[in-house]
Amino acid sequence: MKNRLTFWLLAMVTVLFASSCSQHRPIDINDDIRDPSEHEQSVIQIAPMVPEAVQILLQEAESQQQHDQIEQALLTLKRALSISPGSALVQQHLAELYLAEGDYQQAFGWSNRVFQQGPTHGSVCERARRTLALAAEMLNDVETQAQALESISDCTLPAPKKY
Amino acid sequence: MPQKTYVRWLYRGFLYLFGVVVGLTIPWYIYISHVTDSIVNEQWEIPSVVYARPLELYVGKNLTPEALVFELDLLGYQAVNGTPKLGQYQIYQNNFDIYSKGFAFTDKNSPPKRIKINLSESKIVEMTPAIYRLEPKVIGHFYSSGLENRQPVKVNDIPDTMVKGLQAVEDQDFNHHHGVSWTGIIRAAYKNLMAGEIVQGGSTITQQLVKNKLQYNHSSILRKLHEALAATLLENKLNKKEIIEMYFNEIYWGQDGKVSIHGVAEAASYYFAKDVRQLNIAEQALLVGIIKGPSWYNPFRQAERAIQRRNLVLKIWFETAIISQQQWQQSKNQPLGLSGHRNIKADFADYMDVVKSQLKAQFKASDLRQKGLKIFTYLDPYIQYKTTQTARKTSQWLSSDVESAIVVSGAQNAELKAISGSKNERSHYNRALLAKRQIGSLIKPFVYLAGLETLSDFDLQADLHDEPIKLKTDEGTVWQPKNWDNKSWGIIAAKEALVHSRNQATVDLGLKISLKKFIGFMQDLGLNVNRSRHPSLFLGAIDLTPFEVQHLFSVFSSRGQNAQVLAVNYITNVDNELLSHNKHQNKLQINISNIDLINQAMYAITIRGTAKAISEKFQLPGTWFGKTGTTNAGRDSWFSGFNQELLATVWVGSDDNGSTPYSGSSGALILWAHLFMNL
Repeated sequence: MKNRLTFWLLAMVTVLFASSCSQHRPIDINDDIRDPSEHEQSVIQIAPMVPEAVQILLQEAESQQQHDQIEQALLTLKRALSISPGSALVQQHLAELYLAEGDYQQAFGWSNRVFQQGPTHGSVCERARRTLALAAEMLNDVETQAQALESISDCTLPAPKKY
Repeated sequence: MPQKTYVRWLYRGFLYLFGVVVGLTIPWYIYISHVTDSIVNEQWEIPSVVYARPLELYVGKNLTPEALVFELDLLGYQAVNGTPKLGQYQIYQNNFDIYSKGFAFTDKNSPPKRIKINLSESKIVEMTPAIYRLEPKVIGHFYSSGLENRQPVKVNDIPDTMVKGLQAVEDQDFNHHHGVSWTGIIRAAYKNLMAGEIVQGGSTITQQLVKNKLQYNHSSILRKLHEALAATLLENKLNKKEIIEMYFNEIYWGQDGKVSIHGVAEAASYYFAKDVRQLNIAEQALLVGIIKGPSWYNPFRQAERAIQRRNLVLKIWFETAIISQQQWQQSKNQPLGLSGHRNIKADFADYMDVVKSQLKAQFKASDLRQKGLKIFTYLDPYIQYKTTQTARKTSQWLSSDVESAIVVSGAQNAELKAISGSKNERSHYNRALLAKRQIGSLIKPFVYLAGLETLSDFDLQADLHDEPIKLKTDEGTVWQPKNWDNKSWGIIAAKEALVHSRNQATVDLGLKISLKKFIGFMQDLGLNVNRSRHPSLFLGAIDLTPFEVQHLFSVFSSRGQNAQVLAVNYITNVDNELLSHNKHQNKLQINISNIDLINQAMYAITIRGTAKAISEKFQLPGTWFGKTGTTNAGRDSWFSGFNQELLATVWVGSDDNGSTPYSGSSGALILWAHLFMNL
């Protein structure tokens, strides 16, 4: 009787541990956000307009992130945001950086901003919704997660059928 | 006396003398050893430094030549006619050629660089490199009680000529003595004897360091002995490189008002607005020269004397082969080259009040005073300068009987750019932060926004009753709101009621929302309105500071993304490692389309409403949004308005809460419009 109880307890702990691991697997921005959004087939691709300076800073932030200089990347993105405060592209980069670093509250805030005020079609639109869905999931906000996931398809405006 | 007795007395005398010497010398030695230990182990108290935002330069940036020149002058750049050297700039027509000084930012080192800029119609149209940021202006410090300004540097960061040159001037035997130079003392004594006065001291660099550390006010034989022993012991505890580094960081270099300048880095910054590594030979010689008497040789006040001293130093440097003949000839003919940045009267005190209040909860006061933190803010020195100037002209544009307060922030990101707490530069009362005043009609956009958010059947086309109304309050009194023109317009569309700031129609809408729900709505925006339970709240019967009003209106200017105006961007430690940064905290759940509707109405206010002077009288180009506010008998005159870039709130009123002849449009709006015309 005692052995059986121990077996079930161990089994439960193992299942819980495994499920917890699956819930908190590290988020890979390219695999989870950017690559799926790149395949987006919308006929309208709204690429937010940003000054050349902001493009340079975004590239710099990417490079810093790749070299694991996270704080530097963060400050570079904030610098870009000071130049273009309303830029959905910069905001999305910030959301992705925070998501990758596990700051889900910030990732939620920035991706939600892009979701609400950013482009309605194209890659950035989809990236924002995917980021929001993942951040909401980590924050156990099921309603926002579902809403974000459902709206991903809205970013795609399919080409009219050729008869 | 028998010889035996004589010897005994001699022996006793010797023992006595030996006892006295040992009894005094050992405790003295222990004491001085303890003193030198404390010198070796002493931690610098490094004041934290507060920086303005660095000026970002890139193609497409809106920038007037006046603003760029202001920034460069403020940073201590020198205008020249030829090719600029480091720390100089040249203007020809609309082209700027700048040789920047560089800055080690936390995210990236920004080395000195030649920057070429072409400005056209107040915009950068061409630039190489494509993006560059100038070093940020230091706007304040958090000092310890000693008011010492110091930024320690490593000896390797100090120019070699300066390190060797200091020894040549102050202590030629530095590398050979053990703290005290007997040859130096004899040489000084001989020269003093020949001159008939004291022309040279015999103290070594180590002795001078000890003297500075122990802060003796006057010399005596005993203190000289203290110094000599302490210097000898210090030489056993530190190597020569460590001693010279400590000396360069410790030594007193002058006085900036109440603040004393210590260390070569602060001296370089104070006199030349440069990093110590960037000093040229003449500048290095001046700094080494004035160590002898920073007040006597003060180059700002005693230029001729300072030049003579500098040239004497240069001569010694040439004679000791530290510099070449060519360097000597060139340097001795140079002007002092002092930075003029101290002449620009920029007032950052009111902004520092905000920085202090926002850091209070995050850092201990002792850490701010001693740990050398670097605090990077959003302050824009040019906007601050123009804001201060606008406030100073309150008496000229309005009347000498009223005071003013102005707050300016980024419209979309709520970064605090500038703040002025008074029209009077001597006033220490920061009205922008501390003066809680009734806001009057400034609250109306929020009443209409609350209507859009909470009433399902309400939009800005809905009819409202601008009619006489009587309300019985909780206190049992009767309240009868009136319009500013004492007229009632009857049934009008909500948008028109907002554009023309109709009181009775607004109360009609407020009653539909309910006071309780409206208070809840305002609390969600971060406003503490617990005490007000009177329907006059719908007409702005609530006391807020201009800074709090700025928070509120940033909800509109940022389209619901910000409700908190922040001064501090990020903070690093002395080694440039990030300690904290401003995070986006938006908990507002407001429908953007509702905010846009209110913004449309606020746009109409600037075209045909209470703020139409913006488009008619002042003819400010572009699209503007704003709302006026006036309280009874003109006690408070308000205007809060914005465009895509900036949001500014202006308050005008009397400190004693007395009446003034000004409404929002005839008072605060005048200052607001002048500010934007001059930016």
